[in-house]
Amino acid sequence: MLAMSIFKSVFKSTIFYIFILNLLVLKPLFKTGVWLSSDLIAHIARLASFYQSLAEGNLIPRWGGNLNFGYGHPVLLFSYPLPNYFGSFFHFLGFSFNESVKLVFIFSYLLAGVFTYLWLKDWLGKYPAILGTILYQFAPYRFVNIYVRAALGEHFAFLFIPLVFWSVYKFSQKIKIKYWVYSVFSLAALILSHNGVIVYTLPVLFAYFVFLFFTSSKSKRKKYLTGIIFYFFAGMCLTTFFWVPLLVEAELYTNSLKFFSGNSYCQTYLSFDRLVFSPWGYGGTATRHEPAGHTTMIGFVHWLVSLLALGYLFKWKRKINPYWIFIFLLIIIFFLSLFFMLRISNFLFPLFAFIFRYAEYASRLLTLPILTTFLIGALLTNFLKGRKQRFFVLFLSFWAVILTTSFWQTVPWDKRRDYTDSYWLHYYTGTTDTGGYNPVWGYFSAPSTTKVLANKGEITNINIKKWHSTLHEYSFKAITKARIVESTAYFPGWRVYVDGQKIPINFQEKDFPGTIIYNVSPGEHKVKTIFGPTRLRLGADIVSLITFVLLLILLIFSKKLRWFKNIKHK
Amino acid sequence: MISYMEAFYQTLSKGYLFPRWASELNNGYGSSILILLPPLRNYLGASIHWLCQISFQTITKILFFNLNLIIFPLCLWLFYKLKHKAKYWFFLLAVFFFTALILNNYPADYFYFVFSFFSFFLWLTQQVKRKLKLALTYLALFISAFSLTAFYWLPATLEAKEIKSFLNNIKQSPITKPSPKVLTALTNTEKVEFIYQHRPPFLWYGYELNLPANTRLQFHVFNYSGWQVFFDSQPVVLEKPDQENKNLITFTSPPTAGYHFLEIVFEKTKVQALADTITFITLGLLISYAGYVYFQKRV
Repeated sequence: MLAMSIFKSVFKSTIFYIFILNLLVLKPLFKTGVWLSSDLIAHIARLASFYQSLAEGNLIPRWGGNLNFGYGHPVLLFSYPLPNYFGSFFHFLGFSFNESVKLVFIFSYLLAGVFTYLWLKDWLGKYPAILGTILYQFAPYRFVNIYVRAALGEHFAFLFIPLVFWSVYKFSQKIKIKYWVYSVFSLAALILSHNGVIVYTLPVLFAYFVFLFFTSSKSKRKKYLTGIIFYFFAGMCLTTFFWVPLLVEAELYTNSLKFFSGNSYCQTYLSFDRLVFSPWGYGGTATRHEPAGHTTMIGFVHWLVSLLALGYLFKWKRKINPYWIFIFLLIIIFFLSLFFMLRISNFLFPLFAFIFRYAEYASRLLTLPILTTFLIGALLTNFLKGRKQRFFVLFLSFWAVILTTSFWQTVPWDKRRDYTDSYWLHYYTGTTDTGGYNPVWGYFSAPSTTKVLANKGEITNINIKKWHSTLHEYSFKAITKARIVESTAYFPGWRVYVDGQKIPINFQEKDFPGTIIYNVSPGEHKVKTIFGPTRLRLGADIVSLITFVLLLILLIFSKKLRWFKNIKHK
Repeated sequence: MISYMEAFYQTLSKGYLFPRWASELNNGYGSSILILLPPLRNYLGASIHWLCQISFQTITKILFFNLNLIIFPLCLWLFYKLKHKAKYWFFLLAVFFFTALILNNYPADYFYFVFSFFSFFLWLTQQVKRKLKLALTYLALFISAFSLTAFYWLPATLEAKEIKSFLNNIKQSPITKPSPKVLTALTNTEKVEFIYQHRPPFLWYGYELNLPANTRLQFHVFNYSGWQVFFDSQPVVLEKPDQENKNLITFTSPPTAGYHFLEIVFEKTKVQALADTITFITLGLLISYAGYVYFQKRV
């Protein structure tokens, strides 16, 4: 009987059907192996390197020891870590690296649908939630992120966007500290999922804050505002371990300044026609004249709701309410994002270069039309009632889904059989990076013949005890005074201890640029090369840790805190 | 007709919302005939082909009848309904069918139905009290439909002369073999080094070349004003199409020898860009108008 009632309630729930619909979209991923795409190989290799470092005891993996022909690479230090933590969890459960990355894609897509629906239902009701979720999940760019670009971070971040909005909504309604802490955690998760998506989300989030401010009761407004200010502060503090090295060390020690100069953005503007309609394809990003190989269309239904909303805004006779303000802000963001994807915005590029140069491609701004249109769709539905509301939702949802069915596919799968876990850990020679985060001191184009060798002098009895990602332990006997070359790419944080004594490192030798080199005297030596935190990273880690502990304390003792007590709930 | 529809579909399916270049016509040397042809039948055919995967031959048979016979009376009925009920969706439907009528006829034939409609409007306006309101509604309808279809009739009218001259010229071109769609050097033949040809997309051809200064090059596609050539993102002037260059895209490389990135691309002419902008703006305004009325009543 209980099973029957559970079955009945499941089949009656809308979320079940949304879940099934989302599952259909992901059908092409339920195969073994990997599909051909822009970045999938890089993400699997990065996950393997991340997992290896994590398994070695590095809670925050920052050095990909097996990457870069075995010389190691700091890509993990600068790339968003949260998708890799999730992938590592799946690998820990026994899935291969290939399958783990696929599971991250699958679960994040399914959960994004679930959370979007739950949040919108909580806020606006069932029908707005259905349309909002469909527009969020069935935007063409979402499928580009999965099947063409395999942009793990960008795709994964879509899981946390509804959570960020939901938790902020709950906080604005109840002004309870637990919701505030949840919202900080979800903001942190979004920051750690993809550094670009958080930047695109901010304008929409700001518009939502404004809306919630005006819709919350006057007695709560002051506390809401204070909470929101501290919310950002806490979210940033919680994630300092990621973004501080990214902003400071990447610019100081890698080629990122040169790489993210903004040239690629200016070379990849889209044409307006292609925002309206462009066919499904698997090519790369647009160049000066060549249209993008993949679709860059916003979606017909997404366009439709935006233009309908534009009409809604022209209601001069009525009083302007928070909904009007919110839609107005969303429409502004929508059209501005379109504008900045087009060549006509080039004259403004120098002003906004500090943001857009990191985007690399103009098409990355396609995230913004998704974030604005799904909210607009849900809000417009909310204005309708009864049969008209149901018709509006059914009609638009139907077309939003149907018109993307041809996008639910991958190109033929990669038939290479050597993509095993062992391949990713031991034979993959790349960096998973396109060059932006390569250390400035040197490039490596071939694997070294030995881990340790003497450039000058003579050494024997080389005995490698450990060669972990961040710890290399070995011993040798120097017959003469020797200059030792260790096959490790230098990066701030590497330290060499010879017989327990820290010694200076040279990494700018002409014959071995960017490689760790040090001098030893004759005799037997035990060497430990350790990749540890710099002062900056240590400081950032401490700030994150303290914030995390404080948030936990707040969560545990939330009921006893006075600040929130004098709010009267309806 | 079948080959036009097929060519139309091919260009449309590559993301060109308003197909204007038929790449595979004329033995692969291409044609700008699509600019002149009324596109409604081709859009319908392309939609049916995409939805049902039916051959273009069958689709041409299905669409054998004159669509005007359906659209014209529908327009009249909607105009008549507007006289009694000035409902916004009647207005939008009327715009829709008027648009369909425009897209199903050559600009030269517009006079007939425009004259008929105008007479009909006059007759209807005479019968109501609020004459000005109805006249303005019909005027708005007229402007909307013509603005919405600007993407077709504006280039088809303003570029008609050029297209006819293009079609005449290519008739005289002694092209018998299918176009290889390749670039050949007419001068310095042995010194030109083709480093890399970019993947073959549609209506965009990219070459990385190492070549002497002022090399005369020819691309095996008929020259129409939409075609443009860029050396290192700088436009170059194309030779005027004539019998000597077989009406093919012919041009001379920059006066600096060495590595160059060459792009041959079919872009919108100024008239086409203006026409498309008018269409997009009108479409946006009409949808916004629907939103304005729809949500004005219910919010």
